Amino acid sequence: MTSYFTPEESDAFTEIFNIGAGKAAMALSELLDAPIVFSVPFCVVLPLDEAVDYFRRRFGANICVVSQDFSGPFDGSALLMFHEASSLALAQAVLHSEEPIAAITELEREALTEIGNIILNACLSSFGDVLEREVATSLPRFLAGPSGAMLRGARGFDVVLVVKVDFSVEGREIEGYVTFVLNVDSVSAFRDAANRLLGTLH
Amino acid sequence: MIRSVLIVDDSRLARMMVAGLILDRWPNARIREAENADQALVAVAHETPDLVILDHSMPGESGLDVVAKLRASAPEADVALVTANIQSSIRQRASDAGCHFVAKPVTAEKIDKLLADIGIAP
Repeated sequence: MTSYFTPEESDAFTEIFNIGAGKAAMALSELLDAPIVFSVPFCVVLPLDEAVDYFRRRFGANICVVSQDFSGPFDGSALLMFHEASSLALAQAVLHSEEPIAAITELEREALTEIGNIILNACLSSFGDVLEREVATSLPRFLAGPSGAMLRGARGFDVVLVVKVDFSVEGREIEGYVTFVLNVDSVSAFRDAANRLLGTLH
Repeated sequence: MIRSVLIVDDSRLARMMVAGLILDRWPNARIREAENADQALVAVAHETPDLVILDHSMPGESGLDVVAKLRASAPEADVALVTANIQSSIRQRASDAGCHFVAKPVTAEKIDKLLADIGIAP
């Protein structure tokens, strides 16, 4: 993130996302009725092509994504990205299924979409509250397919703010990434908002 | 005692979860479901529920968009706005519209608090 933001701005971003991750952890814990551990967010801004490579290296060919467009102080798309194995484990947890789930059918899609809705809204709501500007969000969409297509399909923006948040669900290893796809103007607006936040703290 | 609840949410899973929590408390409650604002208005016009549990983010009109029409059709029904969008501004708009506010996911504790706020004890 240092090529786009100063260390102080990066620190402000991480704190904003940390607040969002905390809210998401609480909501997910309520949904699954199980303790959730979220890592401290790791943030990096990458050009779209580099982001495609980044996720291809980590996810391989196919991923599952819940995406939500947002607008207000800045415009973009928020994506919650999972390995397929993590998606199946998460759907099993939310549906309280005794048996492992082998494939994503309609109910599993709905379960994952609702999880995405809750996690992404927790993050986006924290932006709105911290920055004192309302962030409007679209309905969540569930998609499965190649990671590159997922990112390139996210409204054609040119910069990706990757916020890596690992979380685990009571013994189940489930890794998820929360990612924000923005255009350059929105990254600037994000930076301005972080600086306003820093200004209020000084 | 609650007799009739209308659950409005485009997510079938969300409707199933809320219905289960209500029926755990009142097994004889009449649960009706609507997937969107239009269906909710038809359901309310047909029969006034005691409580409307209304999702905010839905295709078409949002929960907050439809509250005034629901109130016009069923002024005596309590309305609870349910949403994962937990921004202060949304909470304030819900309050301004006279709605109770429930953050998703809906849990047993949140349903109990909602019912206590409304003045209905299981």
